[in-house]
Amino acid sequence: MATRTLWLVGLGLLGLLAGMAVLFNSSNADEASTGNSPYFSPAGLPNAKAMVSATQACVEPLEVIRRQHGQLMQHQRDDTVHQGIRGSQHSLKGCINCHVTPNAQGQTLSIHDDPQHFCSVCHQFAAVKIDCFQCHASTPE
Amino acid sequence: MPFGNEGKTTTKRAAGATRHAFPSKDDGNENNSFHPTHPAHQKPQKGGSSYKMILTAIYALLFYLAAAVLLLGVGYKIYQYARIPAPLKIPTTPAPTTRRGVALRMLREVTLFESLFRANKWIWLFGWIFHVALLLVVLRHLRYFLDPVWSWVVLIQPIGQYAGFALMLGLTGLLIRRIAVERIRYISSPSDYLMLVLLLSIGGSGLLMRFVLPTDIVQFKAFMLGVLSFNWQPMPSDPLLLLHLTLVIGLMLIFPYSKLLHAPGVFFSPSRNQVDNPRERRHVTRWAAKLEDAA
Repeated sequence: MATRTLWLVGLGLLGLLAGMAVLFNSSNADEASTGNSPYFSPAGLPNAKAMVSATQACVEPLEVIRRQHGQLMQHQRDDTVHQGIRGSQHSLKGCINCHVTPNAQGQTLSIHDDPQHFCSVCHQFAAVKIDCFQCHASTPE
Repeated sequence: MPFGNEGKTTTKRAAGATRHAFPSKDDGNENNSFHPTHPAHQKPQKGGSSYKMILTAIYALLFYLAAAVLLLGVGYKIYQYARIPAPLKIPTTPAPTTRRGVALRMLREVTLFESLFRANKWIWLFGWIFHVALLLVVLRHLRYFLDPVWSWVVLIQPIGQYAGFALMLGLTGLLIRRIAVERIRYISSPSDYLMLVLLLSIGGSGLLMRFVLPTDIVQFKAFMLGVLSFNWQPMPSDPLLLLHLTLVIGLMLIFPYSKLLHAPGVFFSPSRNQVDNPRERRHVTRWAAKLEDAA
């Protein structure tokens, strides 16, 4: 009986901790909008050519971009390929055009030749292999 | 805020320069109504860098605590197992007659679950699927702890995604067995259910993060490396991630006190780790030998 009580107490504590974490979070989420807490980026990540507007860095807030750029691009791809809808801002081409910049030697190299390519810096850090560039160009037009 | 590269067409790459330190108060485009996490569709958020610092500190400390309990606890258990006398020669026959044979038998036992296979095909199927999938999933998670990531981890990393589903399948099968088979339900204790539910929740939250609501894994890896190198970095505060981590910490804490100890325990099972040679060599435990010497 004592063991059973111990289990229940342990289970309850675990649930309480999880609940508190979720509760606290939803009431007081990201401070991305304050801008005073820079995100971590792996060393060597190149800067973009320009901000998308005077107040915003990328086509979505960084909080969103950093999590969902893959989903956003895939969604736009489906819109474009299946329904012919163009003009949204989440195209791979758009990312490449703004983010892939010349290196210190003034060369703009493809992802296959440049370990410091914008896309590969984080994907290497997170051990994610992307197959976008087996077909698509990884350099701006 | 530094807008160092605004208006420029190109930017020299300088390692270590501040990147992405842009404010993003306003989200400029309203035409993206499809995603539930789009900030335009969330309530306004208070800034909370102190909240994030507290959260980071709590989870970092919990990780240290959980790692200590896991390592010391399992270490102590192994010490206990190694010292418990096995006074009788009781290998389950047919058993190997050489030490090499025993090593081979143990290898088959921990990789193929041979005795379970002979005992019950259904438990073996679900159990084996679960364990192999868990191994692949855990190996995939090595990428959060290594920088640079070892190349073989990069190679098997994508397989781990699908192993996640196999893991859920195996666990669900085992849970259904526990509930549906009356004989098994009768002998099931709360801890039996707890382990299955805990692992299912860990797998479920992980899969949700992989395929539905991703977290910022680059930021998370920075946090994890920071925990390992005692140089804390802020962690992402997505509820799913916090749930996933809380459950994993719970699993680590509970490991040395639960049935999960079958992992080190299998190596100390006398019925599996003994050589079947009672006629060739007399079996005397250490403490018994000491008594004989004294006499």
